[in-house]
Amino acid sequence: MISVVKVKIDGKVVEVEPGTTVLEAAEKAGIEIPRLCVVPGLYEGSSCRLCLVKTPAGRLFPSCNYRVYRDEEFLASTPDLWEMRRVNFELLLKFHRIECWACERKSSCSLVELSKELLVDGIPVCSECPLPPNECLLLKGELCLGMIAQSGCNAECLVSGGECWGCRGPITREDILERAFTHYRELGFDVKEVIGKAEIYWNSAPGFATVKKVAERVAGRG
Amino acid sequence: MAETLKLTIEEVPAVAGKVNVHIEKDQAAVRVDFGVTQDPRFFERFLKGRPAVYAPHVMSRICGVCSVVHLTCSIEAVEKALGVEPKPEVKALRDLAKGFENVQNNFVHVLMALPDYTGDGNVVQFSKSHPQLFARMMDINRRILEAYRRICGRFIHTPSLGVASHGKPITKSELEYVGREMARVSTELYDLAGSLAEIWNPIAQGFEDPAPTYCVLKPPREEFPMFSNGLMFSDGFVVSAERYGEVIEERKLPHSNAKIALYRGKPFYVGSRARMQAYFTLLTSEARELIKTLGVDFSNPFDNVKAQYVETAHLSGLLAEKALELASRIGSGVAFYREEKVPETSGEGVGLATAPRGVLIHHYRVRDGKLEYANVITPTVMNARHVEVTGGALVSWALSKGVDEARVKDLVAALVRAYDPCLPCAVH
Repeated sequence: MISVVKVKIDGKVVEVEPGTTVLEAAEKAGIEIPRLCVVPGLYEGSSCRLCLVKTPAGRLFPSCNYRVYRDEEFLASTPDLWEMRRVNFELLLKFHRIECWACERKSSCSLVELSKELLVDGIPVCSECPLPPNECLLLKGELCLGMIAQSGCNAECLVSGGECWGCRGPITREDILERAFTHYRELGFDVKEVIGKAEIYWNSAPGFATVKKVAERVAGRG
Repeated sequence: MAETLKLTIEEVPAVAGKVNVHIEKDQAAVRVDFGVTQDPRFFERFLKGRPAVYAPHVMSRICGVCSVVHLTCSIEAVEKALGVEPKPEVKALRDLAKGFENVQNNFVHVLMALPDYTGDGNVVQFSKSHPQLFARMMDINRRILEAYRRICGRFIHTPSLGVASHGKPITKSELEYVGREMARVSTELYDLAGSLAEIWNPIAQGFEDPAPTYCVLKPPREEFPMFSNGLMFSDGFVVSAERYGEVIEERKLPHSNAKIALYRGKPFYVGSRARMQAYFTLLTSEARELIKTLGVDFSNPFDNVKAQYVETAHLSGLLAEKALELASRIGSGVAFYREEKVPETSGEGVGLATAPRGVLIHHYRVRDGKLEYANVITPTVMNARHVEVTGGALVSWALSKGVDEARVKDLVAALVRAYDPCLPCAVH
């Protein structure tokens, strides 16, 4: 019986016990692999497919579920792997009801963190806003575009005591926009007023047509 | 001395943007063109029909260097137009923010323009020949920005300043920190003056400004003003903010994308040199002493940079006092100054502010909360014609002293920089 096996990940060699997963071996080697589903001791994973790795020959598999019993080599950070992870994450995110403005766990959300790591768009500025949901500027009657604006700025303006003007561009996912505009209306804002403010930065932004379309749809509901 | 002369200095670098200068001499007459090539962005036009409360945010984007002055001046104009009276604390915080910008902008410009006077030519060379001085100056700049961050947040396009509101919560301890820090900065600036005076050689000594009319804000109190309701000219003429149009007219010249402004048809200048003369009695005794230490000659346009340094030192002391005074008004805990809702009324308002580079005018007409007319006159627009007139006189003066062409070019470039022109503001 072999007592240790040598695993080579991205050129780094690490010695582990046989039966260890590639993900654990990578952790031991200090290589970060993104993941969402695996909970050690509780759930084995293999659902989110964000921890994809490949062999030098090009065979792909989730690293959380592949156990090593002999000396093997893997690649964990090639550009194509990151691209695949990004696509997988985007698909996963499609099923998430994004409503960061009402979410209590926005400061410790793994989806928000991963979206930054994988450069996936579509998370509103609310995810980075320092104000808790019950102190939202919208509740005080200030028109903030955080709900429909692309995040990534660490909510600089909100940290400094201003409101969001959406300078990073609009979110284009219609379901988020629909929920956001419904929320604006619930709080007594005129949809036209919101679009009027958004126009200042987004007039020539590619996604602005979608925003206007959704806004009209929500306003038309009466 | 040549009968005719044609020189072009392309892309004279300033703190923000660059400018082409053409010099043409024919017989005795010398013409200098201050040609701004940057494209106008029509800020005044595209705000029409939008809510007036958006104006400060948008107008701030005219310039990233002096964004605070556009922001605050615009806020003043909107408040006057809508008839909103901010809380005294909000006003005090706005004064502080504005003061900080003058301190930081002027200080950075002194650092950028200093190589013209020390003979280093550029800042990189200056940092190599005077490493300790440079490091000290950079450190002062960092501390000024850090102090600003504590009370207003981000320096560029500060989001916390708004119509009748100050978004960032303020604590007493932070204001006290700002007070202490600025007092230290002020002391350090006075300390630094001695070593600066040694390397600060005069340029064109003996040259006199041919058009010595200037314009500053009329101080509402016995204090260096940040905002005001009136303009004051060096000939003693005083005009209220609303009637600025009667004496200051804007014109468009073919050689430049920016407009020029004239006072009763004649060129005038604005900036630290004007302010230090007009507000001489309002300065502290240390600041007056500093004017002597640096040997500021107010009739020489090159000494605008020295005047900027004096202003920086004086204002940082004033800011320290103001911050501590405000801290004493705020009890323990956190103070919020967010306005609930600004009324949608009609009216007209003219905001006047002391910009780092001179006097800034924002003029709005509002109907039912929507902006109907906007006019902005920036300090660089006011200075533009004065640079041309002074430049012409400088070229004649230099040629009569037997200065060669290459040096004439350097002199004119240094003169343009001494005015600290801001080209994005000039075209807006």
